[in-house]
Amino acid sequence: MSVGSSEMQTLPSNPEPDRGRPLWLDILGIATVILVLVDLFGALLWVPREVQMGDVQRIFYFHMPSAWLALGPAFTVVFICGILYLWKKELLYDRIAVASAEIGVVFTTITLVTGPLWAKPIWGAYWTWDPRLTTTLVLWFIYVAYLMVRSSFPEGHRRARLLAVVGIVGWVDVPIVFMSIRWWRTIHPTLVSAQGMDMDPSMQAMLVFSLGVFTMLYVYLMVVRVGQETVASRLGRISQQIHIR
Amino acid sequence: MGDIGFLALGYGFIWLILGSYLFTLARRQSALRREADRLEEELSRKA
Amino acid sequence: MGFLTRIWAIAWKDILAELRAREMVLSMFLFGFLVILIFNFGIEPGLREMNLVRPGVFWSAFIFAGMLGLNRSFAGEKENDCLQGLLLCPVDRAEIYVGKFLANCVFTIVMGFFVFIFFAALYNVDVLAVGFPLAVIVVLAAVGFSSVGTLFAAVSVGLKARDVLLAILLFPVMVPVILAAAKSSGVVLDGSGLGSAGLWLGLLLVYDVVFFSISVVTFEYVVEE
Repeated sequence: MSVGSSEMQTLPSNPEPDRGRPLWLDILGIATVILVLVDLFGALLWVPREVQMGDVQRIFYFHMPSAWLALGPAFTVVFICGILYLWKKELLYDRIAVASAEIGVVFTTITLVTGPLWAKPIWGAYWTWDPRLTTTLVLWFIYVAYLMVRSSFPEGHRRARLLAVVGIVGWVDVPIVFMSIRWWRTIHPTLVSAQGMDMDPSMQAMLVFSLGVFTMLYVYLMVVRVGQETVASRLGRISQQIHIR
Repeated sequence: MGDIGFLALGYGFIWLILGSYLFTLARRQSALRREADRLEEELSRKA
Repeated sequence: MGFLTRIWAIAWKDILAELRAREMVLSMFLFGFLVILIFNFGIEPGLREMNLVRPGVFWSAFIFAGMLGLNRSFAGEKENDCLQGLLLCPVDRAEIYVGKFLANCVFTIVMGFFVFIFFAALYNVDVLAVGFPLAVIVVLAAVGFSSVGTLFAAVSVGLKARDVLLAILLFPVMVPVILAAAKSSGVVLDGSGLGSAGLWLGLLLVYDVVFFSISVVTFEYVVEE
């Protein structure tokens, strides 16, 4: 998994294809790869084994940051960019929004896959209707729908407007969904709770580190993706100009 | 499937999902490059 | 009050069109009945836990049948290019939204009423006892459903995959409505009054207020050409 070196020759943030990528982007990419590998090593080998849950608990160091990044920054950025776009009409906001939505879906998928795989050996069931995980599932559907709307319309301001509205409605819905599921589950208490982990200082440090690494991964992917969208729309405009003459 | 099995599966999926996304990013990048090359060629033909 | 007349004019246009053609609401009822019927065949008849299951059956039918109505909400306009005409009128976009929303509400509530009758017959519900509380829940749910539904129907209008996209967009956002409606109607059907379902009704009310407001404000961006 080598990010940023051979596959991506055309530059994301610098629109001229024959010039190289800016150095900082390469450095960011390589640093991200290294830190992710360090994170993996730390989670699998360095951090001590959790007393009650055993080795499976190690997946938590990747599960939790993914969940946090998806529920928190990723989709909030979609919401804020939606509002900013409707206000300023700058397509850049639309590009940032779609990048964040895509990466958000990636992280949400990771959360939804690792959650059950963690739950099964510990609590005996793949799915426990835990409010956080269930809300994450609904969230997944909302933003997949967002991406589907995106691919159903041609590029432009109309699509950006529609996406902004969908992004706003989706984001406002999430806390309401979470509350309703939580109330639903307190009437029939869940078998499990996400707490119940004994975390000693090194484990906490590991979690914080992992969170930082995932944030960095998010940022790097965002830069690359937004850059791609910018280049794509620029090429589109150039293509139009060529064909008009 | 033991503890380690689920762990391995979990990490495996994470790499799979991240890898697929990076792969689609790379593919889009190549498509962009090809498009840019095509436009350059058209421009030079029309010039 | 000018805007109330305009809103009513838009709502009445849709309602009148439907009263004349009668095809949409009829298909909504039939589809709602069919969903309940299908569920019935899927679930064991004399089930002891039937009381736990039946609210879900009703609300599933309600949502699916409601979708049919929403799909048609803007389809009429798009087919005859009336949307352009509507937008050219000196009417505030928000008023167009409220008018459409009202019409959809009316259709959904009427559908809910008829589907409930069918449901009550099949599940031996004491209509007189639970009729009024359930009507309140149906109205609250219909408002929530129609508010986001009308907005998203405008988003997906004109697309080839319109129906599917509307469903994919709408269902996740509807989760709180379905939960609250099913839970509160479960409470009511089991004999307690509306008061015991207060929490869920509160949730429905909050949902309705929040999403109606957001839809009113954002509708103009959706419809803008």
